Amino acid sequence: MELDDFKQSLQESIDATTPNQYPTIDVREMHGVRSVSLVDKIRRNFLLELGASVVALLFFGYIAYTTKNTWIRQYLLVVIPVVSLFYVDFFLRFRKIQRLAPKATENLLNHLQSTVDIIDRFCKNYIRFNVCFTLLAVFTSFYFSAYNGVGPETLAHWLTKPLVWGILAGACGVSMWLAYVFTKWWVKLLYGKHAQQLRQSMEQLKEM
Amino acid sequence: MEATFEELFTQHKKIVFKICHLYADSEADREDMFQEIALQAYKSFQGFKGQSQFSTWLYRVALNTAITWFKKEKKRSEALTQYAQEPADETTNNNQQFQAMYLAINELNKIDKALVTLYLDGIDYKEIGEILGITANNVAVKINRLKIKLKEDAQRIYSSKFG
Repeated sequence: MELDDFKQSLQESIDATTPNQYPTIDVREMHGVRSVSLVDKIRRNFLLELGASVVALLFFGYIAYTTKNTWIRQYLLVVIPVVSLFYVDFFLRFRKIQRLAPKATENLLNHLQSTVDIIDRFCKNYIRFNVCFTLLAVFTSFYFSAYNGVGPETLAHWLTKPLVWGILAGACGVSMWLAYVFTKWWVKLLYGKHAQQLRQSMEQLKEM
Repeated sequence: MEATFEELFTQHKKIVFKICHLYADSEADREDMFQEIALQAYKSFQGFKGQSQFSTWLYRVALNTAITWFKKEKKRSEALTQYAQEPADETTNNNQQFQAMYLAINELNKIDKALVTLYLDGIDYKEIGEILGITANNVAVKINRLKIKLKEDAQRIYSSKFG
């Protein structure tokens, strides 16, 4: 069978076998329908994480306010505002990325390009955020636990020694590398395969 | 506007249905894809100024949505085979050849499938090029190659399945 012969048969087949299967659409119901597009899924996942983080920050804020432990209070009073700033920065970058969301009416090549761009940019920002977050966590944990454990004078003395800075830099470096590897694996697990398929489709179109 | 959209979409939903059948493997996936295409078309309808035919516009939205559709990978279900067998209650030679060609089209990659879908609906090369973002010449060359490939693939499938 040639493709042109198939054309006629397909039309007949669809007309004959499937007219009752066409779902009906009700525009009024569409206002509440959630899109399952990748860009919308990324947005929902991000907002879910952001929401959970806000709740966690409020909880830690409450602990900082009520705790009798000076070390924990000092630690949280530094970490909470810095983490909040991180999130504000991440949120603003995310909003900027969202504005690049592909339009369903552009041509396929541009649509694929925009979708791949948005996934790449989001993943890049997400990885950067987690790496910076880890650096903050490791550094402040060291600083405040040492401050609380050995006192401010000994800590100040320690910080004059290159070896201490070396150990600290090593610990930060290893943690950041682990955070990088883990976050990269995570985003690849979530979106990597799909992004790869889109890239392949884009290449196939470009090669035509 | 909503009424106009509903009317136009209802008139042309066969297009969406066809694309869902080619790009989704199971009935549940097809329904989800149909819903998603309808939603994306509805959200984009404000931008439709009637510069092109509604069917061409809908093809654009439907293909963009179907090709970038995000779905967790599953093994290809038997539903695809089931659809290919739908017209085959009668075991005529023509029906078997139809099934073989249908399966050959389903083996194509997403982009080639899009080209074939648009070609099968009689859309001219220039419009196909505009929908996909390539030139009409490239469309013509690719369609000719696909015709040869599909003929061979369909023959191979026919021989192995029904021969």
